[in-house]
Amino acid sequence: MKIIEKIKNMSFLANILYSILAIIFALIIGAVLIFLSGHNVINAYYNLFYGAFGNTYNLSQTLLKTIPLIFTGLAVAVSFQCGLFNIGGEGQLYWGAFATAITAITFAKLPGPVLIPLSILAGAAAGGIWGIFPGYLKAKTGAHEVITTIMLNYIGILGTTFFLKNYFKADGPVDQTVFIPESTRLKELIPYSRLTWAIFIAIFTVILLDLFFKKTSAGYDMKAVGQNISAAEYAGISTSRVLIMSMCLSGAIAGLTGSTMVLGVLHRFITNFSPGYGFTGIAVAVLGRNKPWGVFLAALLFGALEAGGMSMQLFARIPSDLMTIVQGLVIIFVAAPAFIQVIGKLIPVRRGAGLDE
Amino acid sequence: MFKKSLVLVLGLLLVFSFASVVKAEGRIAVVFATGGLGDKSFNDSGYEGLLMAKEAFGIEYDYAEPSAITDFETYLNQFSATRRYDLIISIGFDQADALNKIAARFPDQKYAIVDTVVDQPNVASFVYEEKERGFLLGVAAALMTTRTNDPKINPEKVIGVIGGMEIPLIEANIAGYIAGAKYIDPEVEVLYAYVGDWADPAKGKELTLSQIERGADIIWGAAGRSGLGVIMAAEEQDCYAIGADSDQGHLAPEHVLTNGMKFVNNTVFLVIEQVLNDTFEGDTHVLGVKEGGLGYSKNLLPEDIINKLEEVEELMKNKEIDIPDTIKK
Amino acid sequence: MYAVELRGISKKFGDILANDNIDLAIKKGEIHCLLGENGAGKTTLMKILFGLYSKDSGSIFINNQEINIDSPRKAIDLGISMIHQHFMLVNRFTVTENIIAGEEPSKGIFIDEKEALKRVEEIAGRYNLRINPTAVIEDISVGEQQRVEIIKALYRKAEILILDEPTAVLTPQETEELFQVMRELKNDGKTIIFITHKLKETMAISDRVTILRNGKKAGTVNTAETDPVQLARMMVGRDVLLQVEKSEREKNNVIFEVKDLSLKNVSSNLSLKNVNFQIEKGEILGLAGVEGNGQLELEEAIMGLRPIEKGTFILNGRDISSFSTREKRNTGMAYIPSDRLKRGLIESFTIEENVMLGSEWKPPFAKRGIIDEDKIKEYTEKIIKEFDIKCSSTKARVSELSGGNQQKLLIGRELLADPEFILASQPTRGVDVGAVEYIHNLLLQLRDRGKGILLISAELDELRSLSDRIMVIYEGRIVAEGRTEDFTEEELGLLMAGQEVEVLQS
Repeated sequence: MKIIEKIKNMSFLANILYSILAIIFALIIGAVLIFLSGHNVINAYYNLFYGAFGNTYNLSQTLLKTIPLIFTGLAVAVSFQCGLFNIGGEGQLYWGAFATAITAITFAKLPGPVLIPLSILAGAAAGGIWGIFPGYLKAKTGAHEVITTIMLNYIGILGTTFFLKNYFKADGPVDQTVFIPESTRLKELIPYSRLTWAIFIAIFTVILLDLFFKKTSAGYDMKAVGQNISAAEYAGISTSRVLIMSMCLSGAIAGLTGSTMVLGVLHRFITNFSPGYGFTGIAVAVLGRNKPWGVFLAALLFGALEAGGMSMQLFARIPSDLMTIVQGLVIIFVAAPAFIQVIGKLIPVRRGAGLDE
Repeated sequence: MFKKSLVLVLGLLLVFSFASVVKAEGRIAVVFATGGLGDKSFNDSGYEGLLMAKEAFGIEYDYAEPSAITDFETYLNQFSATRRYDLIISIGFDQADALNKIAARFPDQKYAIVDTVVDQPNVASFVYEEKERGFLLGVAAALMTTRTNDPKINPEKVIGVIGGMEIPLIEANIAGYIAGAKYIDPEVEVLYAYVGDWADPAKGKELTLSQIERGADIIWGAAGRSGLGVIMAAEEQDCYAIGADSDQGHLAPEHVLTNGMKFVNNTVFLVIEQVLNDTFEGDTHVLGVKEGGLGYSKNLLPEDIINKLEEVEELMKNKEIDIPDTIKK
Repeated sequence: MYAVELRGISKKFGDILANDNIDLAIKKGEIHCLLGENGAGKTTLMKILFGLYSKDSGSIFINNQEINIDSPRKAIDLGISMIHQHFMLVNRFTVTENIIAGEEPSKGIFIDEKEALKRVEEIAGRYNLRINPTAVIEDISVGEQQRVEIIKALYRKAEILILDEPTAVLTPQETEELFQVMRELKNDGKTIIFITHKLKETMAISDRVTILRNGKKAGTVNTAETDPVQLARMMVGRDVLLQVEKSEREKNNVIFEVKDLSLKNVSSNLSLKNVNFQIEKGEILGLAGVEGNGQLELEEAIMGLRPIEKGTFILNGRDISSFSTREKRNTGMAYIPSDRLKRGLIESFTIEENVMLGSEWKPPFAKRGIIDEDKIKEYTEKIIKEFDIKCSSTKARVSELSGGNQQKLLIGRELLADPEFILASQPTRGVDVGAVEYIHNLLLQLRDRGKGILLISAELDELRSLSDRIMVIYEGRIVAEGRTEDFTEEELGLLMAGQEVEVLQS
């Protein structure tokens, strides 16, 4: 947990600077690789940037890819703040998506303005409940949340599949529900982009969490428990309650990933719809240094790389494997300074012991 | 200033890089299933079809390997929006939602989808006559189960098949399998069972083991990923498995007798040919043995059985064999 | 002739100048004290001499020859040995095995055990280092382990011994024994560098003293020509009152009482057995004891941080045994934990955030769960001013503060709610001399204002100068209790070591 602490303590601006340098560095190495594999580097990068930001549609695709990563990144960050490592985002977001879809389908008669918030709430609640389990086990029995959340991922993914197949499956070869009613589908901001105002829900969540950790007593308690659980206990904070709460909150945010995917993009629940958003969220949170706005920027970077990567594949004919390598490089180099900093911070700590005698 | 000129240079480069290919005739785009190339299944087979078409007609192609199901729509949209492709092909049934939307948005664009039906006038849907494939495999298995000098074959004349789920598509496969076996030797007993899941190899294996216990020595797994369990069980008990959809011989080279193939390569080739010949129809096409959409792979099959299968194929092409769609209870 | 001469040594850690152009000359055969507050740079300087750190600039002379010491191996070859605060011994090995490790006398391919034992016993005998060479390290006391470290150094033919705060872990008797050994070593011509921040020990053992302050050398003096007041002034940079004045007190009502407290710490296997005591208003009760005899268990039990088997806590006539930690703190109890960075403060938080700790839901700091930053800033500034905390701003991280300022911040926060009873555990640990003076005076002021104080400390001098009464704890039992003046220092030392002592009870 030491590394988590260290990452948390770095200054925000310095991190952004580091990250930008790292992105440039990664792109240079990526350029060498693209060149060596016989592709046109300028064409490749032109398409990467154009595909991510070049026109309204491309920008909308970047944001579309950003939304789920904001939520899963925030989910991980929230648990990090409390000293916990929620790797269970994947399971939580499946329950969130499932609950949202079932709510929207079941109560189809309700008007959209009522049913949309209700469906979102159902998704958050389902994810939150799925987060409570590891939180409770951690607080009451000390079971390590990394293990329990990983295990609950399987149960979450397969559990939703089970209920889907047995009770809600639509006809056809694909394991999916019927479509949710038109009235519950979020409106597109740009025609045909599938970018809906889910992006505003995401940004709103970022703002809310930022304020939560800066301005509220409950947020303070979570940070205190995350930074020094003994001191929190001494201060009279009910640490087990706070641990459970933070996992619940983390799970609820992960659940929103599923909700917004169902209401905004898929319009139904489909098994295996997530390409691992919950896990990418871990990388997003680390890059974002577990700060809400940091997560937002990191998610944007990931979204841009993915959307740009799609164009790079289509129009620069870079095979998807090479594209994945370039994305991986950016991630490694953005994350690497963090680890360099961590190591750098650990060494003076040891020397500091000499200073303090 | 610098920035502007950079953009200009980049823009020019882009234009040139496209200029060289814009002239070509027959431009095809393919959106593969998630999993990408190298899946030794539909994607690789589809890609092979592209290469065949390139060889035969000199077409140009572009393709996309989506990493998530949400990417289908983006890629289809991107390809469509360029308005430069004569045909855009979707590989795999999970693209149905995305293609349904996009096809409606670009009514002048021609599309094709493999293995499911999208009901749009500009989409050619390719599905397969499943019972014919079953019939061929039934023939092969019934011929094989009497070859008791093969150490993997027991004296009993029993063969088996494991279905993924109890749906008409799978039932047609099994009905064909039974009919094929009886066509060779009415005494052959065919065991069948359903996993109830496309992705449960453990249960698939369990069901296979119980069929082996009851004397089956050749078992076909028509069960998606659950079929992997069939191959595992056959390898473990040293008898034969028959794979499904693509050549699964690499999983157990000594134990996969043959595979019930969906020839996505032929399908891709076929629809490209239709587009180039202007015979493209936005309709549902059911491909069977005759059209080269279905068949078997040779793998471990003995020469004489292959000869017999070719005979049967000829009969099928001429519609001289009547295969039932459902299992007679 | 100098055994060791350091010239212009400088060393930077990041932005911190740990050693700033330090000159140090150690005569052969002397006991030289390196005196300074925590963070003055004493250990850093010695680690440079021992080859553990590389110096940024400066030169080292050993026996008048300039030598570049780049590793401890080289230092050992030159006859330099350093005995660290944390011993480097293998717990499951015997004393002899630890001593000879790496330089075993051999007979063919086998270790010559007889020869090893003989050499160890010979060294131990010569310097009067009482030790059982066949005992296993984990079974022997800390004082004995220290002796093993010394023998280990001598076994490697050390001529120059560096002892880093060796008395921190010892009882007064053990300290006196160590000093005896040091004198023997000196008589044999060995040179000893003794790192400490304790004035009394410096006066007792050294020939000369070099004082470091904030990484700079403040001067070198002959011990015979100086006194503790001068040393303290050189250490702190201003005049320091070393003795606190304590006023007489009248008998008063009991403010806090512990009845029949028993508990078992499963992880350390230590039990508190039937602990009973009362503290009156305006009284300081001191708890003496060698660390690890139940002090931590007691403080945590009182604050509700550790489950107990039985026992009652009474505050001002009210049974508070079932109260949660937060309720206790809200009913007039303040707690200065022995490990301030583990329990009391959150290092990575700012000063403001630490001031809030424990009051984050309460007005005026928060209303309906929303934190009022202005109010917190206001209170923080008040504490900083009142307790003279040196910091860059109220938003500085606590990790940037010195130990003394951290402690003042903690005390300031705990006294904010005007408590009636204060549990102060090791309140001056790792705190510089100036802050010690401040904290001592503060505790006495609180006493004079009628607060009850339980003072748990490992420093006998502190206990003796502050406490009205003293209890001694040994292996979880209160083995003696009486008025401070009833005990001599020697008696307390013996009691702390678990020996029976006849104490005059008045």
